[in-house]
Amino acid sequence: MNELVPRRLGRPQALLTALVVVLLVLPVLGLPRLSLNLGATIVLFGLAATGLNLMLGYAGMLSLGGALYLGASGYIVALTTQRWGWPMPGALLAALAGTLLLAVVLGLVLVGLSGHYFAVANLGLAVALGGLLVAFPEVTGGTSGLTTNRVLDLGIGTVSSDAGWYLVAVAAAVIGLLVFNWTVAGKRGRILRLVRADELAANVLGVRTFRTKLLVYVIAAFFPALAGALLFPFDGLVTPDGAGAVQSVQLVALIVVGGVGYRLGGFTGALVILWLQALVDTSGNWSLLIYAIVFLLVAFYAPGGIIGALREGWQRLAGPGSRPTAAAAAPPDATTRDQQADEGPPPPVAPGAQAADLRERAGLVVQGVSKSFGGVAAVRNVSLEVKPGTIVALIGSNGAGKSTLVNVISGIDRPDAGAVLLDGRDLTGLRAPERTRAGIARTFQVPRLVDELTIADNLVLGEEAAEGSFLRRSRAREEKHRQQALARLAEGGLSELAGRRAGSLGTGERKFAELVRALIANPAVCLLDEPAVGLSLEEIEHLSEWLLALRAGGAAVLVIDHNLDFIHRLADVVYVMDLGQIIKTGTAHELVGTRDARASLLSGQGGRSQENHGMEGRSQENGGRHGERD
Amino acid sequence: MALFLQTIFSSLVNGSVYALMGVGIVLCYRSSRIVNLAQGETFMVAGILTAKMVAWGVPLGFAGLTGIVAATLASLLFERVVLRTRLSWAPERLIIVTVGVAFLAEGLADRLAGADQYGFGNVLNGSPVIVAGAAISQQGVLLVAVTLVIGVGLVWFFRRTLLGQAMTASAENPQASALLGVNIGLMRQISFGLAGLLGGVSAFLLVPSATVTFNSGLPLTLNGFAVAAFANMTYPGRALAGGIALALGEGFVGSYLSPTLETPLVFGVLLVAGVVYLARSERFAGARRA
Repeated sequence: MNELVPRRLGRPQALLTALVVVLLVLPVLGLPRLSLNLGATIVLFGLAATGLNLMLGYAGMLSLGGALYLGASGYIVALTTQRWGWPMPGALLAALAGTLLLAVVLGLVLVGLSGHYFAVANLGLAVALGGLLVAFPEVTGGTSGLTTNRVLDLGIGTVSSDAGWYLVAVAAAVIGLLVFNWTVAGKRGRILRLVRADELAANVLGVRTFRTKLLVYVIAAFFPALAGALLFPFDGLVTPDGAGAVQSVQLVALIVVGGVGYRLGGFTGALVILWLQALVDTSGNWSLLIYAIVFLLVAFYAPGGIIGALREGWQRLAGPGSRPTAAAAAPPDATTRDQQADEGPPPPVAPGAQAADLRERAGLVVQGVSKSFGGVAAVRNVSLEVKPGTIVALIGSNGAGKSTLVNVISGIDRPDAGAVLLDGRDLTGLRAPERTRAGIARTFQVPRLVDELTIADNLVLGEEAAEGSFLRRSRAREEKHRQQALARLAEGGLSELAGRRAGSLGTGERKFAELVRALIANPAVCLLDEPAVGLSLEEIEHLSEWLLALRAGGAAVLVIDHNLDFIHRLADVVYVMDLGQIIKTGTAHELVGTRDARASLLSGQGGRSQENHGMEGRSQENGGRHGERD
Repeated sequence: MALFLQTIFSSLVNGSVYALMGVGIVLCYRSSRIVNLAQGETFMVAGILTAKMVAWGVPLGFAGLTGIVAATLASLLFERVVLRTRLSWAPERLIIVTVGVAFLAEGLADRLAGADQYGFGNVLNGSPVIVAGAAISQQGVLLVAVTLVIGVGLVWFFRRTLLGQAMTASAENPQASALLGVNIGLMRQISFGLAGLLGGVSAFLLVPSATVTFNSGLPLTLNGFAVAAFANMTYPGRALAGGIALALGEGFVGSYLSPTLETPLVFGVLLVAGVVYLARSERFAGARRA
């Protein structure tokens, strides 16, 4: 049932077993210069790099400062054992705890940074730590670091032989991989992919992205922490260089070479690079150059690293029959689940039984909202309300401020003035994820799905993203969400999309999928930004039925669109926006029911009637070129 | 007072190099949206090449010129061979590529020149300028002057000349500027060439007082990036000020606290300042247009 994640993540147990077998057999094969000692080094550095791989491959966070935690952990072991005479097991635990604590503190500062600032800030911290270690030689031993004898006294027995050390390293790697599997399993893996693919969409779906990234950052620090704690007694030495910038960048090189996003990427990279260095580095300073050349060759020509290249080669050799296509990504499970869904009675689209109850609530109220960007007032003192069980339409020409208003309501943009209330509760101070959790869902003009996941997984995310913490996961709930997603797709006649990757779908299908994703958790308020744009007439028909069912179910629906026939058919109330203000309010019939009414839509206060010769022409124009927008 | 002035003088010299590095990174980023973590290697290349040539008996002026030209060509070559065909790659991948190139440069230098420290003489050998007991070498004055001229020149160039405005436009929106007839490829080449030139010039003027090794590039790049980040990756003028400020911070920590605390303390403060600054300026973390 673990097919929710892409194929390469499947079968973790088999992979883990395979890795352990390979690791145990490798040194026995008698490969030149691949001693047990080098083997242990490879496994420990591979382990450290695996943490970076978790961050970069799953959450899209590139850290150029991984050695920071490797070194911190090593120094904690060194200081606790040597200065305070702690026993080794206690020192190891202290190193793990201390390093994770450091990651929490630094993560609080760092994970809010975007892209390259995050990457380089980590590198800067590694430099700073390297500098600090040199700055207090009486404690840290200065540039030459701290040394120890190469014995690991675990209390229950000591490890000092090469074979013993190798087994310890492999055991640490297994622990690391188990942590890795746990972190990317099911819901957690999906949410990480969502955050990586589109942080804004993640927020809007209810993911508390800052917290989630902080957790990933701390979990990722566990890997270098474990490796570093063992590397000190293994090497018998820890130096500032081992915590510094060059070491950090070399760790990144390991995962790039091995394969970013593959569990075993770090280990593979370490094996290839460290073994190559051992093969060549008999005399002279070749090691850095070998790093660089292998690194660049892989970065240029094998985006999936060595593992990715091997997989591709294997698929080519095995022929087209076994090549996974987009549609075949999760086919067996998807079909069996479809059958299951057909057998059971589908749950209702929206909780119709509660409709009467919902109608008594205040719904969505927007009071005097203003929002400027620089000197441009995008929204000026706008008030509107959307009662439960009604569809309210917001129309106006491009640039009138409709999307900004929706952004303010959904918590993406903070208003300069005014308030947003849901059933009397003031949401103005809440960020996007909290608003979604309070019951406000939305879609975007251009659907924001996670392209690499299947539609079923994308829909499941609609429930999971807003549900509790990133870490909490239950298979039963995942299965329930999946059944619900499949049922919703079946209702819309879209069952065949369930197993297809979102990236392979057309605009209409994507719009529907995003709509289903937004509605799957039965939100109290739905904000739909141009849902009909880019859809065929048939699809619009389908969409209309869906929205009417939503209304009957008691949802408060706010629709932005340019298609006036669509609006006329659906909306109970229409607001007309121009230049950031509401210029007219009325029933759909009054405002868009007749040709004359439509022609005079933007006349009156707006003062832009000269430029806007009715909106019908514009709506077609918009619909026609929708595909290129954004 | 003498210590105070002396600190300012030496910080001005160091700060000039940080500023030139930062301006180089800003130029590359503006023209290509690439964070060029190989920028510091131009300093290393020019420095070691010049030192080697001087050791072979080549006159300093000619050796220095060769070093500067080599750094410029290296940067141009980097743009042409490595980056130009990969501009559509994701930013993380490109950062990784620039790191790889920095490694390659260091690895080659390590092979060819070894781990020795290299140095060469000053181009200006007159007696130092003494102000109230604090000294600054003539070479130092030259370095600061060159940096100021370059910084002010660039600010003027971007604000006042057609080419500079075109480069600003292509930084704002490459596609739109390309459609309007701005040759963004040429802009990128000029920027990378200029960045290499700045690295070479700073090596020529700073190495006599600081020496250079195969791995001198990365720390300089880091300082440069800090400066460039302070300048929002966009404004050469701010990078100039940021470079001097960074060096002053380092200098005062070094003079009044402990020289070994320079790096950690300054990086720490800088990081926190940067985070506060970025947190303030950003509309919404990681947001694209909704």
